[in-house]
Amino acid sequence: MSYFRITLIRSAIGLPRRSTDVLKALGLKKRMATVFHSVSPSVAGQIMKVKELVHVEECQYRLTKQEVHLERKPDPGYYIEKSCAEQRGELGD
Amino acid sequence: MFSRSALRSLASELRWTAPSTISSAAPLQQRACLHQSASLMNAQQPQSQSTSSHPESPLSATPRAQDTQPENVKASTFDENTMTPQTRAHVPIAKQPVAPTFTSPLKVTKSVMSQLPHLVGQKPHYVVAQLHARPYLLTEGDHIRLPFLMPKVKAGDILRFNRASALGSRDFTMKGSPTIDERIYECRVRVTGVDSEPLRIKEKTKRRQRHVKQAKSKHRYTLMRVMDVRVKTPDELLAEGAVVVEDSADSSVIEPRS
Amino acid sequence: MPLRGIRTSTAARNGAGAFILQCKRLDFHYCNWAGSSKGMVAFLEKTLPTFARENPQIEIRVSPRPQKHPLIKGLYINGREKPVCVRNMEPHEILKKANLLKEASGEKLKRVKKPITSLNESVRGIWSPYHGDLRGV
Repeated sequence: MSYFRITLIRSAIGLPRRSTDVLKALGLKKRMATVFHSVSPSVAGQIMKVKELVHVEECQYRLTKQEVHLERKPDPGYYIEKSCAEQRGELGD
Repeated sequence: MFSRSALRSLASELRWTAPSTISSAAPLQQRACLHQSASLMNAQQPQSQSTSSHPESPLSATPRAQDTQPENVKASTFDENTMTPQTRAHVPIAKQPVAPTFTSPLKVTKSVMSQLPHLVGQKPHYVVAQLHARPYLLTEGDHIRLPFLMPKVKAGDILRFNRASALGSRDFTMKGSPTIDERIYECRVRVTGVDSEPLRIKEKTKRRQRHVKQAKSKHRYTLMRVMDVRVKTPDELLAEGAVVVEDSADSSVIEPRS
Repeated sequence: MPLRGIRTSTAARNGAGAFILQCKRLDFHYCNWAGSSKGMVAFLEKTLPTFARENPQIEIRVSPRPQKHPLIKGLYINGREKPVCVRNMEPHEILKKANLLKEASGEKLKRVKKPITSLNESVRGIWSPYHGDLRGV
């Protein structure tokens, strides 16, 4: 089973009512929102209607919202090597 | 974005194979692989994480940026090997500030190994540490006032910075792609306290109304002091079990000053 | 003989080697009679012993201040002090204020734009147009 991964890149402000409605039908409410739809002719036709506004990829699995968020989340870049309580414990020994 | 013809061919293909959708899965899968390899490395990494729950996936062979296997910390309700992340609380340990444990030995290329003594011998050093993907250029003894309040740290704690995009001395710079392996250098900082900014008052007004709302803000920031920025010598690296490998395109390099 | 300033041989870089907490003393003032000190009295009885045990480096003084609101005052190594009024606060709120005073640096609050302040010289030196290779434009 494969899915379309559709991301809204450009807003439909100023476009005909039909474009806005198609985005609403796809479930895209704001820019950079990502939705997953299974590959089917009807969805392909919807993408066709708003192809100038969206970025489409194919993928094998439907990702959850959190998984999409985690793709963008950077590493913290630090970790606690020694807490002050541990250091005090070393001094006490 | 898809071109019109590509979409049309896809739709027509689907129309032919509408009763048996399984037969169309094979070419689609191939296409998905192609897309994946064409997309950025950044996008690839989380894909490999998410596919950990689907072992039959063709994408599970993609390597992680740094092959760190985090140690098991406090038992949380979220097990990243079996569950898919659903809520904001479900963060894999690789994205949490947890000390890493390494499964594979450090790989150093021949060119880095040959240039490393020059870099190590020339002091002082600087490091461009990446905290939440923001760069901080640090030298030993610097005072840092982070633009945020670091959670779960106390004054006196010693932290290690383990994502560095560059590491250098006066004439040599080691550049990571995108980061240098954390076992090559040591960058320690000490949390010295928490600071605050003076109270800011922003006056919020609405049209045609006399009422003025005051929005107050007083953020708190974590203070730190860099304890040491140290590059390990080749002997130390070899003693720790580093493996010397051939040069490749996506490995860190040491460049002399031009 | 001309007057000379005192030369500092080293710059203070607390934490680079040894680390000393900037807060050296916390004064807790309370009133036995007033209602605004109710939470403070409970804090002094219940929470303060554990707080003091966890922070042996801080000197803690408790003294009554009758007919006044309760107050925590932090004294710092740099000679400054920070008073915080804790009237009508619950014990857990007072503990938060005590922790705030403990972690504070004692400096006057300032708005700082740059995250890093360095006393060191630039590692790579200052760029000069007259040195180094000529580069084609």
